[in-house]
Amino acid sequence: MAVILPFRRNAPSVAHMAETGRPPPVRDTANDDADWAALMLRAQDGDKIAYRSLLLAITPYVRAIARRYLGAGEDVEDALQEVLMVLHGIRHTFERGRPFKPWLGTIASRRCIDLLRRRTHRARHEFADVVDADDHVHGGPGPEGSLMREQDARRVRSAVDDLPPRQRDAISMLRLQELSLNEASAHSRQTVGALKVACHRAIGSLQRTLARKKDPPHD
Amino acid sequence: MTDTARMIEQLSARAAPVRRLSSPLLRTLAWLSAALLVTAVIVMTHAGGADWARLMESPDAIREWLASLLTGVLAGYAVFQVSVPGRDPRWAWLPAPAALLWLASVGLGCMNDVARDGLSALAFHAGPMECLRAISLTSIPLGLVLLLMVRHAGVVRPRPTALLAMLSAAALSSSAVSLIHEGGESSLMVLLWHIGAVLVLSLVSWLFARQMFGWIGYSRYA
Repeated sequence: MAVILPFRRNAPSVAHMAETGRPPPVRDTANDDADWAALMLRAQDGDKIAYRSLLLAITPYVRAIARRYLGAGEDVEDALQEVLMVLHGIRHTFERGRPFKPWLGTIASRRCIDLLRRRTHRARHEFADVVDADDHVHGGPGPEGSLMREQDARRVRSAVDDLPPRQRDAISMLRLQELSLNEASAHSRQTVGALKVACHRAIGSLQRTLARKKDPPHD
Repeated sequence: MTDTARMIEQLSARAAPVRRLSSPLLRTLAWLSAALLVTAVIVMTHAGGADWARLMESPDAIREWLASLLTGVLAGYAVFQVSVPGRDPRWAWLPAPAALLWLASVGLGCMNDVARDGLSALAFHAGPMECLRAISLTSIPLGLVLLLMVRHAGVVRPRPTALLAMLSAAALSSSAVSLIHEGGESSLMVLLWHIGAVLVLSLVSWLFARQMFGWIGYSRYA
């Protein structure tokens, strides 16, 4: 499994955090790995302050890895929290004398990949549910069924047109034109992760919009 | 305070001391000792005991036996490498040469059998199916013990770890069963019942790795 590590322009200083308990203004340093490894060894011995400093220090780094996989969105914070939980559970697996970033990078990448898998699975099911529900209600043959399907198609097209541009592009390429994720990514110059997020949100918006149109609020 | 900041406060408040993992070599030795103990008990409790004399009769049989043993040992070491975050995943290939040697030895044995006995060497015998049962009954609990030793791998590299763990357990079990099974077994039947069992068990572990680790759980320290 390849580990994607983001470039670090800035890194919180451990000394600063030990004094203030907050990440300092970010700056470039090549010593992150050694600092983080030292903090982790102290944390493994039960040093709560070192552990807190470490978790604060690695947060931007893990968030950057999550963004690389998931794009910018609310899932990034979920991924970050999940990585912190897993790191806490298996912190005994960090070995003295080994670099810290590959250890953290493997955990973070694995969690993000699992999160992506779960998200794709969820999105596929939600989309299938929408299609199944429409087939069930309006699937009858004959002129009436045909008319209803035409009306439904118009409603879906209109709902798609009302989506924000990114979501509209994503749903149009992935679901209507049935492009693969890589093809859609090349067309739109968006990352695969960002496309998945946009598609997932678009499906959610469409479900809400279509449900509102089907059951208009009573005054 | 954000959710993440709150979580960091909670986790750091719970930072109890933990015992670091030992080196992969030490853990491999611990695992091999456990596997050796279990297989030794099985061999000794078998009616005839270990049939070393029959094994030593043929250089081909010795090569097959050593290759299966080496596959189990190297797969065990690979488990303790790939299951640790940050270690090189290419360690997963470590048992491949020994496994290929094992396969090639049995394949060569098949050809020798055909050259000596003609097509009758390819006849199917259900008798050695007992080996399949013995290998499965030994390697499934052994493999689960190994997975327990690396339960943290469920959130790191579940599939390669599960595959290698079962490969190690099954190959070691197969080498133990080779010591006690009755003579006269054709190489084709060894290929079918021994290597077949190892392959099937390893593939099933690979397929159900997530479920197995989900059942075992990953967290040792809360």
